[in-house]
Amino acid sequence: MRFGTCTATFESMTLATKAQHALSHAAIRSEVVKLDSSRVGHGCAWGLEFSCAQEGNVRTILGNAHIPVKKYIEGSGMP
Amino acid sequence: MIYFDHAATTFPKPPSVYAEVERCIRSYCGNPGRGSHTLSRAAAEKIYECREEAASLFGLDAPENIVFTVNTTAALNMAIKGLLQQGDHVLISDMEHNSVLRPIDRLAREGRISYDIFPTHGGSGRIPTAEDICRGIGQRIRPETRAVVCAHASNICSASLPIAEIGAFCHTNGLYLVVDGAQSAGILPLDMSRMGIDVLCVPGHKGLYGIQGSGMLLLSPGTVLDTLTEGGNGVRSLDAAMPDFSPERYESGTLPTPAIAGLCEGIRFVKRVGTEAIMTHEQALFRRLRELLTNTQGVKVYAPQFVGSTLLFSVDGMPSDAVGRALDARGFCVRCGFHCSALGHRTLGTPESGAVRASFGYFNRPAEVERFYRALKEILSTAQKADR
Repeated sequence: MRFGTCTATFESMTLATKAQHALSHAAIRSEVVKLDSSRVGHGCAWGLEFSCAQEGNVRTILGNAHIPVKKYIEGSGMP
Repeated sequence: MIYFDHAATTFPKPPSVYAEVERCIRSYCGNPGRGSHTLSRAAAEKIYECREEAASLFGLDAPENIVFTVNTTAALNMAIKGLLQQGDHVLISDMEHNSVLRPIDRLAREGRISYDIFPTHGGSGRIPTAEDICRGIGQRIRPETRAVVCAHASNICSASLPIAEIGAFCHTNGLYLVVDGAQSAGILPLDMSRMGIDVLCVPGHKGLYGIQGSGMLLLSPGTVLDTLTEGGNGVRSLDAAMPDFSPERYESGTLPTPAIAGLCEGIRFVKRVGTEAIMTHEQALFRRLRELLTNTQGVKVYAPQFVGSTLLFSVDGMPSDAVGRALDARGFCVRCGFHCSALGHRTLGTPESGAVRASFGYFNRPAEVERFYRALKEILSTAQKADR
């Protein structure tokens, strides 16, 4: 079992919110965050923080929902 | 006061709409999709809720393909100018509102596109078949024809077009279908995927019972438009170019969050009541007024063969604005003149002063139609006495 916070990153807050709703339907808690700009390169971008213990489920749910994730990172995406 | 001008904007709105607009302004109206703070995130969450509600109402799987605009005209301009390219040819119907005609005519006058008008037979006294309409479109297709742009329902009478059949015809012939849903959204069945609509433009403040300042551009999966406006949108802020994904590609500048919050509740109201119940109610009012007016000497009803929410009529010897003023003095709100639809009025052959439009909403009651008719009879009687 992995502990701590993992983050899925998205191009927009709209997609991050869509992903949050998809996870919420599967009873997985997550939080939309604005990412540390230095980690994404293009300026403003958005992420979804969730428990690393759920990473497998998160990848499956977002993949099945065809929600494009830029990348998954370990730790918080926030500054 | 009795309000029969719902084709312009619905009034009143459901109480839940007023409540949510006020709650938004007072409680959570941060700038959505910008900051990381609580109010910005709350506003963004409400806006996404509205995208979800709209997507499910109009048969779209992807809420991110809902683009917010300030009204239908803005959405149609984005669709028309974002889709058509140099040398393209486009087809529009003979009942179009100026929000379709004018942007297309401007592009044509600038030598960028050409267009033709296909008949809907609205002025012929009969209800055209889908085959009639599609034949008229087919006869005007050229090798460079790229799209059909047309209203689902007329804004001056109850004529409507068979959008599902037109959508199938367009796709068979490799054409985009752009639909102006200004008068049908929230009233007539309107499902993008089932009807083969590529781009749908709708108002928030009419049949969806939101407030003014809300409208939507809905894109089918895979449809990408050129942008009409560029600017900040809270994504890829260090890039000079606009992003290539929806909705942010098309939503530059701060969104009208209170209007969108109200629209969200308006759509929920429409879903609770049901579009079929709304349509049935409004059509019953239409039928009753049509029955009264078609049997009244000195009154002409236009396109009476159609049934819908909007009834157009004129009074012999009275300019339409004089009828409107007399009705207003008696507490009735209608709209007179040409209703921003030169094409439609020409097709129906209305008089040179235009005509009077009575349009119904869900909150109108049958007794109001009876009162309207009594007031109109009084106006007719007064005018006849003045003539003697």
